[in-house]
Amino acid sequence: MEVRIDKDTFLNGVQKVQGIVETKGAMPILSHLLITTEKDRIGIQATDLEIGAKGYYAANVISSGEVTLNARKLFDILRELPSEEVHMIREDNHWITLKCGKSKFRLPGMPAQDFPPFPDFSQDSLIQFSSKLLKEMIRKTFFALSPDETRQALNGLLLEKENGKVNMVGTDGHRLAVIQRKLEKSAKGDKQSYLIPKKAVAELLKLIEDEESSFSFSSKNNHLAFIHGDQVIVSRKIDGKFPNYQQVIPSDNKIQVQVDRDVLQHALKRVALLADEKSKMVRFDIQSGNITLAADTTELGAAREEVAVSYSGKEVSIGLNAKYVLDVLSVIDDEEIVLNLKDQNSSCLITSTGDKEYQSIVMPMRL
Amino acid sequence: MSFSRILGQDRPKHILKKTLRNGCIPHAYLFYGQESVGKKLAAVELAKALNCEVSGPVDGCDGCPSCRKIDERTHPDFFLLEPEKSSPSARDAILKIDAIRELQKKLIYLPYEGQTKVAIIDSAECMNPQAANSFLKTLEEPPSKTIIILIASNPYQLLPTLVSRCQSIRFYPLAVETIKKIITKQLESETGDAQPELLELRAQRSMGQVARAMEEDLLKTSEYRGDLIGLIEQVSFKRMDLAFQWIRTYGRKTDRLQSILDELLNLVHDAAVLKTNRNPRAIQNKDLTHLLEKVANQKSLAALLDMFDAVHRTKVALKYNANAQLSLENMFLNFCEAA
Ligand SMILES: [Zn+2]
Repeated sequence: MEVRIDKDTFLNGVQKVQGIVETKGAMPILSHLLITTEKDRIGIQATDLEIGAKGYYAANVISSGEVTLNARKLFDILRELPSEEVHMIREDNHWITLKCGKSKFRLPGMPAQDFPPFPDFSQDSLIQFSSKLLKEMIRKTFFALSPDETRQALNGLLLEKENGKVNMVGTDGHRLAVIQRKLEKSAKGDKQSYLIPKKAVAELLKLIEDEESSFSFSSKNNHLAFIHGDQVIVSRKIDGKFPNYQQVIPSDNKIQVQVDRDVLQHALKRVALLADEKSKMVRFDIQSGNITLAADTTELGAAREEVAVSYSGKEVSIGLNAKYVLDVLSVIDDEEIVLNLKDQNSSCLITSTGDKEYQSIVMPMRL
Repeated sequence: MSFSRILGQDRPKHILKKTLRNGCIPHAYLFYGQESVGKKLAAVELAKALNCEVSGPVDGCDGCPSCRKIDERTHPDFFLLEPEKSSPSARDAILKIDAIRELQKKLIYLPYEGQTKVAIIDSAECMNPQAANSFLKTLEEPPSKTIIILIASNPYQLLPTLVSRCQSIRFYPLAVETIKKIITKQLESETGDAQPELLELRAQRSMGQVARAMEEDLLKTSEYRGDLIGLIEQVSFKRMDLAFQWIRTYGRKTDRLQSILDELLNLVHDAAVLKTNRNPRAIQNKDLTHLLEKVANQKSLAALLDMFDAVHRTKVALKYNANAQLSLENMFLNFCEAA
């Protein structure tokens, strides 16, 4: 195998899959990338057996073949090379020579046939996202996922498609974020749902660069795929049932408090400085015309701040995890948000006046 | 085919084959029984059978890519966890919480290419409480298309809540003939020759465990048996000199002391067996039957049981780094009292 490729193109391709590569593990070949050739391009792929990524990049293929190279070393070398053409040649015994400018490297590869085969994924698009839409939906739900990677269903985003609309939902059991958007072109059909593993979402975010392009989502057997031009991310499906999130969204919220997002965000950040380190609880005393935010711990001290709101109902107090509320406030684009409550024991539903299709729920804490 | 690679263990094999034919396989198994009798081998063969591309899910074929990858431990749906020492000098190997968590993270995915993910946890009793509690969650909400196999030689050290969620299958010590077949193959492939009379001796003294039959020391320690029988027969308050002399010779062989004491334990055991039912087939030192019968005639059963107890306690004490000489003297004093 012999290939000539622009160094920046090569580096870009290697960088895109770097996050997937396993650095330590039972199978050494998983720390390598597989590089294959086609007519006038090379394929670069990586897998940790859960997530796989593959991309194609223009190259001058002099003779065809396949090689594997240590991903980390290749990345480090390419990063330091001058922006010139890289000349890659496979020698006998899986050794690879890289030449660029005056530099020459010899690297040991592994037998390419030992590299796990790329999973069989479907090219049939089930949902077509614009990059902009996909990015927004992920940004507004991803933060709510559980950090515990052993909890099956709570470790993925739920993706639902129904009647020309698409929903994305994330939850960790204490909070939940759900966003619904219309699809530009989509036939009406039965509801379909998929769980997208957290790790796959994190890799997907790296692929979303310009907002003009599009992503198509597909599913086949045990694998999901996001296809974006010459690049694809394939993820194994996760097991388990996503909780019935509709049940969690409180309805009949008599208390509705409108407040400026920016003002609340800054006040809450300040008060949260003295909140209990573990629970992060801040007390929201809601009364006519204002909310008093209060944190009070014996070790750290006390903080209070009043925020003007538009509300004229009865007084109610609720304890909320400040970090959870701040996570929501930081992804809402509108200026004005609404805190919706039934009473002090119910969950707090956070919406914004301009976007009724994005809802976040934060469970209350005992005061 | 593949299950036939497991020699002996007819009952576990029968249960597994029947379950595979019926197709209703439990989420979790506990394979328990003495060490080195084929538990892990059976677990691996079960994994192969479940995923075999030729004769699955009833049996493995040993030849298809899936069977080969499981044998080579490179199958993406096959997981084998074994205890690790935290440092080369650490006394005991443990199954660490990190390793368990890593496995749990992998099990949340559907199979990569196989039909059923199989996770084998060898020496499951080496899970520390933290790891065991974490793993309990996985057994409580078992991932689909997944079979978990716990392997333990001391199932009583496992959390009862873990055990209750597994279908338990007991593995018994192997018959002498089976051991002979297994070690013949192993010795032939290792050294190219297997002397029949040594094979017989190894098999008989293996306690039904392959690894024990293969121990290099096994034949060496058996040379000590003559001396040991002499001690059982003769040590008394009048002849403590025999004991002291023996301690001078063997008390410093600390690396071999445990296996020598095992020999002593077996000899006392055999004498007690001969005393009670006079069934020479149930004893391990068949080649010394005539000497052991003499001991059995001479000693009371109570005395033999006291001796057995004394040796056992000494073994435990030495395991916890007690002074070898004192422990051995103490053991022989107990022999004197029993005599
Ligand atoms: Zn097979």
